[in-house]
Amino acid sequence: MTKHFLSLFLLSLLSCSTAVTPKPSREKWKVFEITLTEGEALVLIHQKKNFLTLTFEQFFDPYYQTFKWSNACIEGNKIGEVREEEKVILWHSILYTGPDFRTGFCPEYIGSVQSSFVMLYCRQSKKLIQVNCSLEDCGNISWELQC
Amino acid sequence: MLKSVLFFLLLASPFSHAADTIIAECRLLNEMKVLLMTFPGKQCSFLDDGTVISLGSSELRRFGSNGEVMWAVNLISMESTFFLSHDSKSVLIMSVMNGKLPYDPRVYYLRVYDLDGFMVSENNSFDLFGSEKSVRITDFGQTIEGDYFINVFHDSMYILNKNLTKIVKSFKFPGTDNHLVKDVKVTEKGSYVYLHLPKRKLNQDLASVSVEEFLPGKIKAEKIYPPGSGASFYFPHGGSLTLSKNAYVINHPLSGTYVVSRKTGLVENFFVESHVTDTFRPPRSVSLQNLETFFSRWTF
Repeated sequence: MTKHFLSLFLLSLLSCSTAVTPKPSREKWKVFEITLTEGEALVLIHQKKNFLTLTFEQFFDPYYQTFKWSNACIEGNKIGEVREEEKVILWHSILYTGPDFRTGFCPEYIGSVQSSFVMLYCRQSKKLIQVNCSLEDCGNISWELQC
Repeated sequence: MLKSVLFFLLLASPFSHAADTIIAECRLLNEMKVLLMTFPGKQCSFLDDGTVISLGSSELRRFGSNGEVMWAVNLISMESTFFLSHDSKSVLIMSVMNGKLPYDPRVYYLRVYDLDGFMVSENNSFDLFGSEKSVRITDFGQTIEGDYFINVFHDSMYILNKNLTKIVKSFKFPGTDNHLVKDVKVTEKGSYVYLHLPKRKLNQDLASVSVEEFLPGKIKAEKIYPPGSGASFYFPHGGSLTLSKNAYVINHPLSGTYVVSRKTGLVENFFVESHVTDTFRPPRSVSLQNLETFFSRWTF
């Protein structure tokens, strides 16, 4: 039932949205869109950024005498800065993701793919759009997004 | 408005968990050993209200169910570990600070915080044992009566009062004189379960280990793994033990993870988590927990 509802919701988003071009096939990307005030959107974006930044915090483990994360993992998970522009607030990161674009993955993990993770807030329409898509399918989609 | 976002994200959650989830430090894996999520930190506890207690390199944090940091406690870069109380309402933190010179005694700081991040009580090993005595505390936990205990390597178990200010009593687990005891856990009935590592002989590479259970008032401890009176199993350096509702989970970075049924004492599952998801670094400890309630509230 939930899946059915979700499919319908995504379908309606994709059919109405003017936010993303070009459109890759639906299975290869994920879109969320919600109406929020600017303050709420900023809280949500910074929360997500902070959580991911803390997730990939590197430190030395005296027990194993190694670092927590491999270099490939740190280099492959590039957490971008939040950019506040005249019409939009944009946060774009390149992250290794698992199935369903879950974050917190590394290249060592079986089945992980490098993906674009974009949160775009349109000040005029008050819509926060989150787009996840693998780099292989979409490339750097942050430059394709517009309000 | 945020509520509707959270409701939507909840609907979009890809998780459905009936079986126990594997917790490998701050990574969650399903029963097929597939990585589900990674949380910040090197040690995490997942609470039924959808929040997470996470120990990072120098801070202990609590994350709310929306991924926000609810509070953080600075641990001044000391090597620390934490344990949850039985009722999951307090966080017990043990931090160690090495002396300035190599043979200086280490000082262990014991602190108890409530779930709002406020310190309830604290003490340190110098105040408990004196600064001359060199102790190595491996475990800090809570007894079934609500007092606290510490386990001192090559020494004894000490029961402390609720303010951590006084040693109320001490005892040794039977048959552990001059042996190593670590990873002491308290069961629902008040018994202690621990890893018992007899002293290694000089020509012995591997330490023989057994999981034992001691109920206060009894004369003998009971060996619960391996079953029967046979030899102990071998680990290069001992591994770690966690206690879940139905199983003992014994983990070692080199040997893998054994899930031993609490009912039968037999190995019901074995896996090498590091080979499945992460070839870079195996987990320090692995535990099992039913996280159905946690996932129903975690909305991030």
